[in-house]
Amino acid sequence: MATQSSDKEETDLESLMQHLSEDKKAPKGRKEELLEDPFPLAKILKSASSLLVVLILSLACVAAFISRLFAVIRFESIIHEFDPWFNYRATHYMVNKGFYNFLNWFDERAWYPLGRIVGGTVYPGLMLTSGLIHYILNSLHITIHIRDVCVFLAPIFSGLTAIAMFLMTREVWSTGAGLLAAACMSIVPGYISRSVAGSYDNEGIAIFALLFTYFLWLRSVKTGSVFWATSCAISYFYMVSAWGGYVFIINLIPLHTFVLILMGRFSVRLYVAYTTFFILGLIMSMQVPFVGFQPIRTSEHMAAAGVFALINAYAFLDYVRGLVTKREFTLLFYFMVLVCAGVVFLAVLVLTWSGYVAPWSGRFYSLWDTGYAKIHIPIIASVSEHQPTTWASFFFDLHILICVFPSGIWIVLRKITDERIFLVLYGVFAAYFAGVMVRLMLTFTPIVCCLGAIAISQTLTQNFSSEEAKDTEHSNKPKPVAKTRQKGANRDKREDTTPEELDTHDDYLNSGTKNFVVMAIALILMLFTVHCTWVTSNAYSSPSIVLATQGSDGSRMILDDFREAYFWLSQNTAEDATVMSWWDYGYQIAGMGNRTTLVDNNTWNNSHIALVGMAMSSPEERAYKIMRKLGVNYVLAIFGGFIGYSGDDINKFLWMVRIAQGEHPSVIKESDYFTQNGEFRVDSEGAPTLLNCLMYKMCYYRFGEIQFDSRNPSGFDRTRNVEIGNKDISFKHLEEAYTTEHWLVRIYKVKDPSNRIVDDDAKITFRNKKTKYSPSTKKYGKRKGIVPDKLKVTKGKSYKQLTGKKVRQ
Amino acid sequence: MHIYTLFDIIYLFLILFSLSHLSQPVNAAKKRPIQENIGDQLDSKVSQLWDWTQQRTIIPFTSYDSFQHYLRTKPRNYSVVLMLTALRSERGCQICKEARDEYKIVADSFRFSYGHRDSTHEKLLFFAMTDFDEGGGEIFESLHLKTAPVFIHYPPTGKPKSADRFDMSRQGLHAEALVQWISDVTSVRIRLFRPPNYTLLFTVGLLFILMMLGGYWMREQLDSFYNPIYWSLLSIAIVLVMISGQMWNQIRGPPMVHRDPNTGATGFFSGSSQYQFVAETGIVFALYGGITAALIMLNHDLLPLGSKSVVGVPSRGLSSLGGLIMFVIIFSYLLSIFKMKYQGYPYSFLLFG
Repeated sequence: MATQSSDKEETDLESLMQHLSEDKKAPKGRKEELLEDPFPLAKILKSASSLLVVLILSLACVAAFISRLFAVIRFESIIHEFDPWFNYRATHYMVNKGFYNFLNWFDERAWYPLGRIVGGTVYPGLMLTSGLIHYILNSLHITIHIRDVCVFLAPIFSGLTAIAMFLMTREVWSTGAGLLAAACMSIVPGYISRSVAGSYDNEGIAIFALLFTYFLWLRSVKTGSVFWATSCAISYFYMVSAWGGYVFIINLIPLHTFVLILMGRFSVRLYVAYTTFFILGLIMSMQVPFVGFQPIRTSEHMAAAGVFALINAYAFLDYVRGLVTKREFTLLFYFMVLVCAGVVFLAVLVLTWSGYVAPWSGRFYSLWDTGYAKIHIPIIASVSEHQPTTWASFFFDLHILICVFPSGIWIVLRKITDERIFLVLYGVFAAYFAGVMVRLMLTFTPIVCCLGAIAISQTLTQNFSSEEAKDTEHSNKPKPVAKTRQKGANRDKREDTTPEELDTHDDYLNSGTKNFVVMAIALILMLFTVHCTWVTSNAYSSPSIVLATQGSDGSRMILDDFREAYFWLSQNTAEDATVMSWWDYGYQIAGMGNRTTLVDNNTWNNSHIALVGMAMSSPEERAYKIMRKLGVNYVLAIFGGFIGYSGDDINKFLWMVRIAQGEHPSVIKESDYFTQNGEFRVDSEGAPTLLNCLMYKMCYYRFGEIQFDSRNPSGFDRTRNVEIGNKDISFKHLEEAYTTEHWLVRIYKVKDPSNRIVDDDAKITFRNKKTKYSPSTKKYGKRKGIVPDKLKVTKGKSYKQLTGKKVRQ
Repeated sequence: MHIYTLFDIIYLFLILFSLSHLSQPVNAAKKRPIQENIGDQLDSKVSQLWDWTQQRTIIPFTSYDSFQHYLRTKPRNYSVVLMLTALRSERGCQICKEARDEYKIVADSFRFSYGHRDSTHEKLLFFAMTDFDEGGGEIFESLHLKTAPVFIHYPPTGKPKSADRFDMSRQGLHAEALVQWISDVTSVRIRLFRPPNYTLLFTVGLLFILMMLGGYWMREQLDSFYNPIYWSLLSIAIVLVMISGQMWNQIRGPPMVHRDPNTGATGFFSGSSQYQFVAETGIVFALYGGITAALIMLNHDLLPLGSKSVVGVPSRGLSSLGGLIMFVIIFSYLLSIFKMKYQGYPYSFLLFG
């Protein structure tokens, strides 16, 4: 447990740091005093503190890297899950064929027979980053396979994220808080969930880009320099090229600017920072092929343009104010404000109405109207990472930080500056988005780390030593900001009176309590470290294409069925064979099996997915017709009933029906798949339509012959804990091609049309014997087994479902 | 003799006529005598239904006979969606009112799109409603219904099948779901027009005006508007609402508390990490609020106290001690709740196991 010990060390160092780094926080006047001080301890402490900063930061980076390696150590250096497989395949292509070929890549292996233009439908930042690292390492003659670069990219970038976090927090508060924030960021589960080794996805690098952009933005607002604003725009460009979440930046920064203007905090620094950032950011973001003209044509980006118009109008008014009398100006001011607001509003309205500006996209709209996706976009609603967040998930991912986060808002706003307003805005909006969608917990985590660390750091500073605390109190006074109002200055004066009076009030009770406060916080921070390690090890470190189970004697068994099946596909089928499966497995089939797929995780074509859903939920005859039309050679189904794996296709089946019904309401009706009482059951009580559809038959073909032990009947499904209802399954147009060791993946070959028309239909008889185990209505997926020696899947989808990754409910 | 016969005939006719009137129920008075052909009967039914629809978009059926006549007797060439409900306040059916409102939106939208008699849409569709307490009791009995509200679609020919009943438990109450169901069973696509929510508009408008007025009156002390304390309290409130999972409640609509059907005991906390009750989130909200308050007390110097001599304000030492105790107790308790929800979670903090 190297992770744990290094983190503990950090926590201790952190407390020490608080003690030592006070000098750093002192304003310039105080620093000069220190230099003249004949006693050299201050100097030593100062140099020691900067050494400590470097040391602690590098320890945070190392901790960030190491704590993400659980999966690599337990299994192997392998790409995880679904989307990373596509990213890996694309990176591989880019490294082999070059960047320009990658941009023009037409992938004929996906979305058969449509194909996919990859270059124009992908954020290339991820592939470029790992391609660049690979290139540099290879030119230094460090020969490393691109796969290893991909696997370790996210851990490396989380180290960088910790540094970006430090920079950002230091910018608004203090070095000590920055270090604590960096340490928290490096191990917080909310971020680890998307950045373990092997989770090669956009988010892994995007959070770094997000934080670094925010740091540069705060720096440019503080300094008002074109240099920092340009850096901010460049960092924003990197973010745009990496992740669709850049929309969060392009809305939050204008919002910050807008609020600052409203609060009367307009300044030339703000004007320079925003205009530079907006213009450069706009032009650069349009260079990404996938983004293209969106920044000037969609509603998501209109806020930024509106604020740009506003800040220019405001700057103009500010200029005019110096030239006219006060009375004239008041008139002019109201007139201008009215005209400006009216013009901007009308312009957006007209442009939207006439179609030059696209209205909000469905995905974005569903953030505001929470019921929207459920009714109109089943394919979005079907993914469990788009579900709302329970309080338990917040606590699971953020632990103590979520508790102290609100008080961080309070502490930060006590001494208000331009940058601190930004933190609060970020906190409030990210909290809302994280509440709506589990997935957006990722953007919420950094601000929780930042504000939580500020709260803890401030509490520690206050309680370490009263002398130091008072010094900080004086030195932490906000820097004078350009105020347009005289009243603002008065406000600051009033606040300043507090510390002086405090000198007289310091009773002995306080000094006794202080030690306990420090101890309590140290204990809790240690507990936080332990919690993070536990969560990472138990919930977030499973590759999900290799499953680990615990046997009855406690030994660990590896189920490698997925790779077994994909390997079989790559070795035993024709090079141009087409494999039909539900869209979840599209990327994996293409990535590992190297075969053509019909649909995949890039869910751009809903009607194509609905067609596959219709084939899966139709009886064999109709399914065969659809499959012939689509040119399918093999069908692949995931079946968990043999080992009790809950993320299988039967549990996802209702979504296939629902999506198919959305496009073909006359053929597929969801109610046909339920019993009279509205239950979804696979036993003999189940709806006949369900018991005879293609998916059911593929999953349970010959399963009725299996008897696990004498206490259960044959054909006992261990995931749903029922005896299956249709044991006598035979195929007419399909034949079983391959079934993996634990029956997890079943592959069927679609036969060519027979020469002679055979007319005897497959006979189907139902067992009418009522089973002992009748499942409850809704919870069919989550029930644990009651079979005594059933294999218990501990590392796999069952945990993913707890934590809300891409598993359907 | 001659006169007699004539009298007789007239007499007989009169008797027959009155008999025919007496024997028929009130609402079916417009029903033509049997001799008339089926086409006329159909026309009269349709025109009557049209007349009613012109008056109210949802036709109220107040007697069993009219229900029998228009919905069950041949000939029909129209579809009818019938809502069976119990709206009287003493029935205490809250969901019925919601269902009625949604149903009315659907019926109004339908009328807006296809409301004219000569409009050419392929299918005739009418919306009807019957209330248990307003003459609908017999209808409920004849359909063996014990619950309300129920939506049934009566197709032009034959009896309603299982698909002709709207499954409210699965599809929900929304007008969108109703429209979807109607398009499934009748293949009539209705475009929904939701009337704007006037109360909301009014409230927002009123608030806006009040705020403007307040701003105008307090323009001398606009400083308090810029007071960060209010803003930080507001931000903290929003954040607390979100992190205690209220948005999840909003979307999923869980029950207030858990009641054990066997023992009748009330449980505030759900045992699953993927589920929560409204009361549970309220408690968590309070706990988070407590921790926030505790930490603010620990940072005593940052409290917005104008002067230390104010009576009732705790001294620095007391405030830190109180803050510390609160912080430790609440965090420990929160962790124990979390541990209960996540089976297999091993850690706890100081006090509570």
